Amino acid sequence: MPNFLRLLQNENMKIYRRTGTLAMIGILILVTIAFASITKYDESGYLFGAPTKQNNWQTELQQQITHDKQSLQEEDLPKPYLDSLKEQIALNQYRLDHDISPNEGTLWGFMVNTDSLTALIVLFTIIVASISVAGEFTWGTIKLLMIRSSTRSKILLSKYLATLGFAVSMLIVLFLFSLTCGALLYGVGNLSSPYLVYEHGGVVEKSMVLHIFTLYGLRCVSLLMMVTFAFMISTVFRSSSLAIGLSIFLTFTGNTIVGILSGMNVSWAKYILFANIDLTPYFQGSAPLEGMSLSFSIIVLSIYYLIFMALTWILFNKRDIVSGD
Amino acid sequence: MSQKPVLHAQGLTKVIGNKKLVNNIDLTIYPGEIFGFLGPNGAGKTTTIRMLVGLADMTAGKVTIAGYDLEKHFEKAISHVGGIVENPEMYKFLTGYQNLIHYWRMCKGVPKSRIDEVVNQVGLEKRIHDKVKTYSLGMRQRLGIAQALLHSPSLLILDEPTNGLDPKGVKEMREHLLQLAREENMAVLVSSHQLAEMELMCDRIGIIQNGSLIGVKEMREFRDEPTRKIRIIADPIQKAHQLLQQFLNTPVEQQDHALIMEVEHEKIPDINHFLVNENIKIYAIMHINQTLEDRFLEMTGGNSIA
Repeated sequence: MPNFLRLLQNENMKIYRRTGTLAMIGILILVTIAFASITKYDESGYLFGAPTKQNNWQTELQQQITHDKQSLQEEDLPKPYLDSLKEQIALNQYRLDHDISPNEGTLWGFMVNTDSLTALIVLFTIIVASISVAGEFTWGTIKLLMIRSSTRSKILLSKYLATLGFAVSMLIVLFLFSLTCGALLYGVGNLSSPYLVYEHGGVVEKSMVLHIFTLYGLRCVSLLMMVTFAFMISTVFRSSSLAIGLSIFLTFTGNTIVGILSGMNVSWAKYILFANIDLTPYFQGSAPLEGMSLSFSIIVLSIYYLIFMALTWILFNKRDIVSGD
Repeated sequence: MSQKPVLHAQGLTKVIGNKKLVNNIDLTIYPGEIFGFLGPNGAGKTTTIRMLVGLADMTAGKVTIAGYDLEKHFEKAISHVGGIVENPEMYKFLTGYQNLIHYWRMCKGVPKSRIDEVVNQVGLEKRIHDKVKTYSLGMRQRLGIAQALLHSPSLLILDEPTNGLDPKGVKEMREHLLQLAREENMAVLVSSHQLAEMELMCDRIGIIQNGSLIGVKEMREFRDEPTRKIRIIADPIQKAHQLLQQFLNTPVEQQDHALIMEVEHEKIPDINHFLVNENIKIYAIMHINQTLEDRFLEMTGGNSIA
């Protein structure tokens, strides 16, 4: 479908020829550098060279275990806390027994932390998604776009895919740039150290690379949901500022809202998008709220996704294009 | 005209809520003609144009462009249309050329060299690689025309194309449209609320008022009219009024020191001769340029359009 590829080219041109987009890429790179430098400095007190601190990690772990065991003796501990203490002790003991140093101060340890920088990508992609549709209305260019021989669906799809393409490019930039920064600051030793998980009452060794990819992959789920949400809002309200504002607000307060609702024992809290958007707990052996499972969350997310998509497509296809005045 | 129409609209109607914005408009436009769509702001011109290009759904009616039903075969029908709806809004962060590439990518089977052709045609060669945000309104209007011409459409639809242009720009635009219609046999639909402007370039004019098309007239009918209104300034005015009333069989109207009447062109020297013989002093005899509006008012029964 060469015509569709040309539509994609157009959308990409409109994304990457904007100064704002280039600024976003610049900011992402600067923040990654800053994040790497601060983390490293905070851990070891200097920027370059492999940390020496890990030499006495055994003693530190031993102290931690003793401390945790003392905590276990205390009464009236809530069960989840008790469980996590036991898990900590088992994992630390495993490290001591098998001589596996903690990941702090290694390249992998750093990479595990950088996944939180995807929040920045969520933010930027929401902006790009919102401008992609609503911007055309604000600029008035939507009219010339719609009186060309392409159906509205094709144009919308090209916009959606170009936005997702932007998100993927940003993720690749973040990943590769973090890897480079990490390798420069932490060196490339200790790469074979495994990722430890506590499963079914025992400690299991897993691949660290796979763990990092899983973390990034799970972040992609919330990225996809929030971008689709922003896309919908910008189609429904044709206002990029509203779409950006609302999506960002919900991204950063969604968890809190769910927390408050579940604290009030609201039974439908688990059906809220934001209760399901972060799938990481399932991969660490727990659930965000009681009565939820990975498959439950996937079904809820799919339903939300379909609703967002259907609304976006129906409204974009059906509604008249009116001018801003 | 014996040619097949490029645009054929039948019973075009738009209702929003309980307001009838456009009421049962029939419109037929042929190749090589400039059709003027005239009406005050808010009469429904833009709404009609929106429906003609598929930006707005029609409540009722049918539009056929180059033989294709607009609703059933949108992509085919619209590929014969080039247009600007309202202002020529472009991507300001892109250059003029990048804007044209953008629209070129959406045309099927048009060679890239066509971009340079249309740039030359609208005379934007020198500034085409500058960002659109540095363009004047006139230049953006030209860029808008350029994008509308990219795929050599058979129907050009321009909504208020002379809006905001300076007199020189208006003249250029007019010459350009005339050239497209005459030399490339393009059908051009322009809307405007400026009557004088329409008079200079249109072959036919349709006037729209409160959503209804109240008349379509060929411009030739106006130009070749046998009688014209004249104004005579004479003294003594009372006597001249009485004499003329007897001399002519048409009513003569008196306005202060002037007499106004409608006469055949050939009769003007006779009137002059007659009055001079009767010892009436004549200070001036002049044509009254009836505006298109006046004539349309006559034609449509005096409804105010403004």
